[in-house]
Amino acid sequence: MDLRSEIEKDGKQFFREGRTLVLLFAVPIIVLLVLGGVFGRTTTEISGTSLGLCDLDNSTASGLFLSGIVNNTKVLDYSNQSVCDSFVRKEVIEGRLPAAIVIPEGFQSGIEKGASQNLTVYIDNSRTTTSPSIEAFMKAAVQDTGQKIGAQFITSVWARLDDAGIQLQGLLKDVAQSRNESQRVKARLQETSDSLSSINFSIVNNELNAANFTIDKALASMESAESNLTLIESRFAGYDEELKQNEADLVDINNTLGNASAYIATAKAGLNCSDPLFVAYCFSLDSLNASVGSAQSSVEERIEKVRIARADLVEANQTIQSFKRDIISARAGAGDAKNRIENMRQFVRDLETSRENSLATILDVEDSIDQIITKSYDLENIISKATVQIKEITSRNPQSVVSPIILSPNKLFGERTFFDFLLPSLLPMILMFVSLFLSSTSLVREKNNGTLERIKLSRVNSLEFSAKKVISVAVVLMPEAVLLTLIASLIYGAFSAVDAGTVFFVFETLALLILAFVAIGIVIAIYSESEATAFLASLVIGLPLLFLSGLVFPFEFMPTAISAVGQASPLTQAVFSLQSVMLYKSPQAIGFGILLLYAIVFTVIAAVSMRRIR
Amino acid sequence: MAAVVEAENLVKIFPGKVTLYNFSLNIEEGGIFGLLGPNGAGKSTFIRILTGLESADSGKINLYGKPLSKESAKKIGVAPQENCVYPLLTCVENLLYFGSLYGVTGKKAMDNAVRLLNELGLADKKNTRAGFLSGGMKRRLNLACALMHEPKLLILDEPTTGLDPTTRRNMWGVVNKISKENKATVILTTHYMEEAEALCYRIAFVNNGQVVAEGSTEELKKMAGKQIARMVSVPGDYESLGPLLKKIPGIESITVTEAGIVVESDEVSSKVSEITRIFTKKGEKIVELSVSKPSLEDVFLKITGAQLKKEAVKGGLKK
Repeated sequence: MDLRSEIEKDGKQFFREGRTLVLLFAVPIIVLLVLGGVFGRTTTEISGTSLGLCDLDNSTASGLFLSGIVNNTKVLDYSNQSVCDSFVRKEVIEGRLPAAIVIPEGFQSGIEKGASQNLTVYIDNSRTTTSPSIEAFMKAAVQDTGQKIGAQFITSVWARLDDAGIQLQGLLKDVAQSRNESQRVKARLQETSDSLSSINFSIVNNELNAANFTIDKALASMESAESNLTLIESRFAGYDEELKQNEADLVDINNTLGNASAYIATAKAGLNCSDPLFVAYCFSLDSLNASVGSAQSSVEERIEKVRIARADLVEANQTIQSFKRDIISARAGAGDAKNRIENMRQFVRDLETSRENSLATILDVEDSIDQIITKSYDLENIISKATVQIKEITSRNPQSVVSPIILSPNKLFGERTFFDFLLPSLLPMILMFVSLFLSSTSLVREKNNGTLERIKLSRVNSLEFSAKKVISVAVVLMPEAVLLTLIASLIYGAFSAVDAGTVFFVFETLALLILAFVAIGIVIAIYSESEATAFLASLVIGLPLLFLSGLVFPFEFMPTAISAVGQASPLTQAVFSLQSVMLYKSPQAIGFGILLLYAIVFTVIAAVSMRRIR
Repeated sequence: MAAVVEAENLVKIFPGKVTLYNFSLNIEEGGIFGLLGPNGAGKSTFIRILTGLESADSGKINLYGKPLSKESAKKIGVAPQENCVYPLLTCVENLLYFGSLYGVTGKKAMDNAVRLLNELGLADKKNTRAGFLSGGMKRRLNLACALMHEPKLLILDEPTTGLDPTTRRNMWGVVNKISKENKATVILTTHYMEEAEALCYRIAFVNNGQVVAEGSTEELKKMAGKQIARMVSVPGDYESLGPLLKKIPGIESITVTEAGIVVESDEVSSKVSEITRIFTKKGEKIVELSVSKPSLEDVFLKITGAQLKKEAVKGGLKK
């Protein structure tokens, strides 16, 4: 089998199919131009997007939030709509808006009260290409507004902290003053303690004992006096009896004398005291009567004296009784005094106990005061530190607190568009599909029109055939690789067209990729009954590789095993190689070996599988 | 003459199907050898084994006295039944490509191509794409492609299938010419008995994976030996007619085929009136009746039918 003949045959086959030829070259150009136009300019991601707005708060805070949005995207304000929340939600649900923001009523007041506010954003997440950008943009806007509000809040907090610092300084003085006061109290307590300790309760007890003794003596004296008084009283009673007798006697005498006087008077009355006979007599009688009268007066005087004596005795008796009562009262008083002395003793004992307790309490209080003093130093220390910390805290810029980390992107490669990233993936992707489709369908066609069997009749070695077929189809596709290389360089400036080394590197990558996928396409063809099967099988192989190439979804977000498979795929290896040139200007030929290995392995698989073809 | 192909007890079994079973055949050098058999008889499997596309499970096959090898296979040229050419390549490009597969390149390839195009009447189509050729021209180009490396053994797989009668007869001439001018041994497989009769010096009938008969045209016809009357009737209840026809004196065999009922006798023409009477009696309306000496096709039908229903012979009825 002659490689040149195979290449000529395949080349003529490809290039004589007009439509295939046009598609072969036009499609990649169209794809590159269209995608270059779509992704080839730097733009904010949602600048062309219209967002619905339902501002139910219409406040400074909502305005602050919206000011960060309107500069980057179009905002359609539906706040005047009745039930605008439902309205914008419906607009999103029915696909007329990609997203809508609802600022709730009480947004600002809620923030001022320190409550987190729930800002609803309805996102049409069926638009998978725009919804993540909108969500990210909204998050950024919320974060930006949050930072502004946060900075304002922190500024006010700083002011309050500064006030607190000043108050702490005052508190520091108060603490020092309190400590001094405590020290003074402690000194006074010490004095009190000393005073209490110096109290000699034994003197008091001795005095009390002496008083008690005196009272006992007084009681004894009073008992003796009472006995004496009782004795006097009894004697006075005797005297009174005698006086009473004397009085009765005197009264009898007085009565006798009265009778005698009456007899004399009677006797005189019987006499004519005018008669001189009786004159003497009458005189005598008068004299007698006068004597009797005098005697009677004397007796009456005596009676009176006896009576006075008896009254004196009564009075003396009363005085004795009074003395006795006084003595009784004095004894009671003495007993009471003794009780009081006892109470006093108890009081003194209590006082001693109280003193002990007081001294213990004073000691405790002194300890407490010592602790207070110690704590006051600690408190001073704490307050001083707190003051310093407050100064440190409030010296910080509120903005730096809200956003302690400021992102300073250093774009090492200048402004890049998505297409710059896309292009190193796009070239291999186009060639992958072209290689798969053309190699698989062309071989299926040969299989179905019998020419392949005719080739097998020549008993060509299956490995030789597979290898030459792979090379042949790959050579036919090389102009496509050249075309794509030139477009990437000349139209999109992905690399310098005059840098032969780089151009060759890119071309070599694409050539190896073509070899690998042509080999895979040959295997697909062997197992396909029709061109449609081969086409679909190529899609089944190509599409997963496309999605696993990192173009659609970053490797970093894939499960580890899938990421490993994706990175090991020939498409990804080619993408890596081209990225090393087009993005990093540092060609890394690591993937070349892997691509070549794929080409060899699938060529061998094709050779082994060739026996299946009947 | 030396044997070109010697096949002995070839067995080839595909999953669920025995394709060849004790297939033995010798083909001598020179001339056109016909290989006939119904679909699925095993002809194609034998050809595939002979060309190296398949290997036999057991048995032996030699080509030019040697076991098959890559080198010996290159002595074979195959013109498949389908037109296996590249429609987007010109006639000469097709020829040069298929020549290159056998190492025929350069001037020799071009000389061969031009010669073959001339021989097959395609000289004026040299630079015409194969896709633009008529059916007959494509078939000739297909044949030319098989001859580019000047094979000593040419296998033509039903070369006239699908061609109109005129083109087919032209093709017969081409095949004859090729056989003579290229001095190649030709193995021809065909369903057209007259084609085999017209072209082949020897014919092998293949059925159920075996060669059931082999010989020259005359030898094969002698195997049939008798005159044959074939009738097609409506409604065609041949099962009930068979025993009645068998009772006619001189009737040797009755064979029911897809093409009607075949009555065999030394003098079948004298039995026609009696045969038609039985048909009428049974309510069968004869729509076609032919009386002939046995053709190759009759032999084919007889042999393959007998082979298919051997058990039925006991009852005197062959289907």
